[in-house]
Amino acid sequence: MSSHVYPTAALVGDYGRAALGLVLVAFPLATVPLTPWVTALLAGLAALFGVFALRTATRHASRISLDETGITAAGPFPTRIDWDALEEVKLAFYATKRDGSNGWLQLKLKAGGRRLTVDSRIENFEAILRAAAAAARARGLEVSRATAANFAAFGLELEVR
Amino acid sequence: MLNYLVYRLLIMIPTLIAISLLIFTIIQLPPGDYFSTYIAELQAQGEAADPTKIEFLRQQYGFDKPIWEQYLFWVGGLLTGDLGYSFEYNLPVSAVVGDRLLLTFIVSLATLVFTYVLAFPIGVWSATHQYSWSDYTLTFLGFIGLATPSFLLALVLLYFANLWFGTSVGGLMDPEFVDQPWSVAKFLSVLEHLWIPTIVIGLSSTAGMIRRLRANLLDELQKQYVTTARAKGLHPVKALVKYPLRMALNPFIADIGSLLPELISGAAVVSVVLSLPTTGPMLLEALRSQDMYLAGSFLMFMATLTVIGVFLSDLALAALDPRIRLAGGAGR
Repeated sequence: MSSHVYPTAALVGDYGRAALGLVLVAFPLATVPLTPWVTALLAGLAALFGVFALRTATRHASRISLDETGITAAGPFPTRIDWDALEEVKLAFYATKRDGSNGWLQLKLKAGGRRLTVDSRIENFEAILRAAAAAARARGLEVSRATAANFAAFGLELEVR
Repeated sequence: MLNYLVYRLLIMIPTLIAISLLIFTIIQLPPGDYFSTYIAELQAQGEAADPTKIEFLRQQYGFDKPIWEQYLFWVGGLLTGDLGYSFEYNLPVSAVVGDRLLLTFIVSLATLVFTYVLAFPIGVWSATHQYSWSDYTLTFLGFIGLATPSFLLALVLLYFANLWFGTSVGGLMDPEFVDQPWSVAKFLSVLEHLWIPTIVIGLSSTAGMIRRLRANLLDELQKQYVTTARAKGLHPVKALVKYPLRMALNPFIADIGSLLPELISGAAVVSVVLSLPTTGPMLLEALRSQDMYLAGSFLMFMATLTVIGVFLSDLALAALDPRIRLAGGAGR
């Protein structure tokens, strides 16, 4: 059994982005008499940055535990996915540069209507990937070509749908 | 995806601020302002400008204030829906742009549909029938499309449209409908004139897109997973559509970034040749005469559309093909 959390240092950037985004949209909202369209747009963006701040705080307070039978998320939104019920695995890469030279990975697991999402900034992300890949292979799950390519980057082979 | 969305949005906002600064600086770079150019022109003609009116406009639009205050005045106006005043036309910018924006949108949308509807099937056909007579013919036509100057094609088409169909030369409608309210007859007249600018503006981008799609699809079709899929007995259409075509579509999606501003800028040079009442020629004139609010609003609008276009294409690419690039790293 292993336990994983998001290190504070890894989330500082997200907190900063949420704060910066809120300041950038709240300043004109509070100081300039805007047209209804611009007000709606900026209010929507403020809501988005607010949700992002909450999501970051939720992640910060979460703990992911791996064991032989499944993966558990403890914290504000607790959930558990048993490996023998695993239905879908997705591993997406989000590039921060147009040439794809930098970015982060996001693992999404689905089983019996429950979902669990983990991103690559969590401690020892590779251990979670290996466990998910082993469960997917054991269940004979087929994944998208993009997911298979992303797993292959870690030396993990999965059957392409 | 939320992370990615926020990350991209936070790149967009400072980008737009930087662009607005750049546009404002470039517009201010030539010596003097619109009024000094206007006064000089009048003096050259031996006439005098009304100093009271010019002073009033100078004060109203903050021309007597420091540059940074003028910038804030302009940007604040954009946010509050006041696009400023066109000194050249003596009207608010929104009134000047008026119908032109709609006509530009109609021309550009028709061009966009023409480009995609033509480029997509031809590109796929050309790639799946490589080195056949049809591929050679389409490739030849594509190169002709790329090589023909748009203004030349515009003149040729205008001549033949007038000779064969009796279509009036230039413009986007018959002269009797200009400045008239919209009606069925006016709309039909626009449709009658629309095909010429659509072909002229759309031909080179269609040809370019066919070449790109063909090359990308050929790259994908030669990969081992396609051979494996075929060897496994997968239906040829499925073996084409399921992955190779999706991968080859990436450049199509990446093009959205440049296509959105083109919807508004509307191929300025071709518009001048065809006498189209679109926004392109107006932008050229506004830049020439230092009509700063008209030019600045146009440029800012196009820059915003470019940034939104790139943002949308990045989101679409991330959703369509979220694969890791092995040359780079994972994790920030």
